[in-house]
Amino acid sequence: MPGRKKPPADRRIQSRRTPVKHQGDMGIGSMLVMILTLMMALILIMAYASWHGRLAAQDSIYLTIGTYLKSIESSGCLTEEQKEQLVNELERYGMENINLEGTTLAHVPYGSKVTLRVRGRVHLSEVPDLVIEDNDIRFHQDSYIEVDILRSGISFS
Amino acid sequence: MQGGLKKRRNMLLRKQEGAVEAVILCSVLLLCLVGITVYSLQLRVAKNEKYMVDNAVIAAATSTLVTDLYQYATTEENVLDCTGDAYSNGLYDQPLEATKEACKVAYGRFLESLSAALGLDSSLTPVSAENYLKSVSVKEFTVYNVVKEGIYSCTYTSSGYQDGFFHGSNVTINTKGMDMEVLQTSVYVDIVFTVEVFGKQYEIPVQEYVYSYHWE
Repeated sequence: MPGRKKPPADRRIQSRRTPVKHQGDMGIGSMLVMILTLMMALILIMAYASWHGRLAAQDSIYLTIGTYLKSIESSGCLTEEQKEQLVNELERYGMENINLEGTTLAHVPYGSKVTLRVRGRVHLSEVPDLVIEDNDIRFHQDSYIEVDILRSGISFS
Repeated sequence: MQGGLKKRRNMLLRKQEGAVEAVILCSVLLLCLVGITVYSLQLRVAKNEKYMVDNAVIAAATSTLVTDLYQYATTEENVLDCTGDAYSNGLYDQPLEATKEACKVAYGRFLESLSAALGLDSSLTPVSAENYLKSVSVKEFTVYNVVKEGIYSCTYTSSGYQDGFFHGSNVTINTKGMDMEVLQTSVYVDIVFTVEVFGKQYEIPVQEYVYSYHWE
C-alpha cells in the first residue's frame, strides 16, 4: 500500500513463529554472570579468611614457644610448672594431642644445649576451610594443621 | 495463555541495552578481586616470614653469649666461651687466638640454633621444599670481647675469619640505621634471607647486635 511505512526490522523478525536471538539479547546471560561473580567473590573472601586464620594461629603458637624457650634457657630445663603452663596456653590456641618429646626436661649445666620440641595439631574451626579432593570441592568445618616446632638454645643457668 | 507465553518469550529475548557492559564490568571486578586477594596474601605471608626470621636470628644470636667461667672467675672479665664447655682453663692468656676460637664456637652455636628454628640443614639450605624460605646468606658474624686493655674482635665472612684489636673502647657499629658503641662483650650478625611467596621473591636483610650483661 503506498505511504505505509514498513515496520522496523526487529519487529518483523519478532513476528515469526520461531524466536530468533538478537545481538545484545542477554537477559539471562547477564544475570548469570553477576551471580557467578558474586559466588566467586564469596569463595575468595572465605579462602582469604581461612588462610589468614591459619597464619594468625601459627603466629600465636610461635610466639608462645619463643617465650618458653627463653624460660628454658634461664632455668636450664623445662620445669613441671612451666610444662603445665605451656600446655594450657597451647590448648587455648586450639592445639590438641600436644607432645613435648625431645624437650630438655632435666637440668643441664651452663653453656649446654637446651631444646624445646612441640608436636600436635591445631583445630581451626572458626572459619570453614576450602577443601578440594577426589574431584569434590566443599567447605570443611573441621580442619586441622599439623604442627612440629623445634627450637634450640643455650642454658644460662 | 498464548499472551503469557509470548510475554515470557519476549522477556527472555528482549534487547538489553548495556547487557554486554555488565559482563565486562563483572569480569573486571572479578579480576580485581582475585588480584587484591593474591597480593594481600602475598604481603601477609612475606610479613609473617620476616617476623619469623627476625625472631630466629635474635634467639640464635642470644644463644652465643656464653661467658667463659674460668676467665670470669680469675680475672672478672666477661669474655665469650672459646672451648664449647664455658671453661677455657687459661686459653685467654693469648686473647687474640682465644677470641678467634670463641668466634668459631659462637658461630657454630648460632648456626645450630638458627637451623633448628628455620628448618635448615648444615649448609643453611631449607630442608622442606614447602618452606617459603629459599636461601640464607650470612654476610658477617662478629664477636667482640671487651677487656681492660681494649676490644678483641673476630669477624667471620665468606672469606674466612679475621681477627683484630682496638685500643680503648672507641668502636661503633651501625645496625638498623643506628650507631651503637661497643661497651660490653657482644655479637653482631648481618644476614640476608630470600623468601619466595607465590612466585615473587623478597630479600629480607636482618642485622642484630646482642650483648652480654656484666655479671656482678
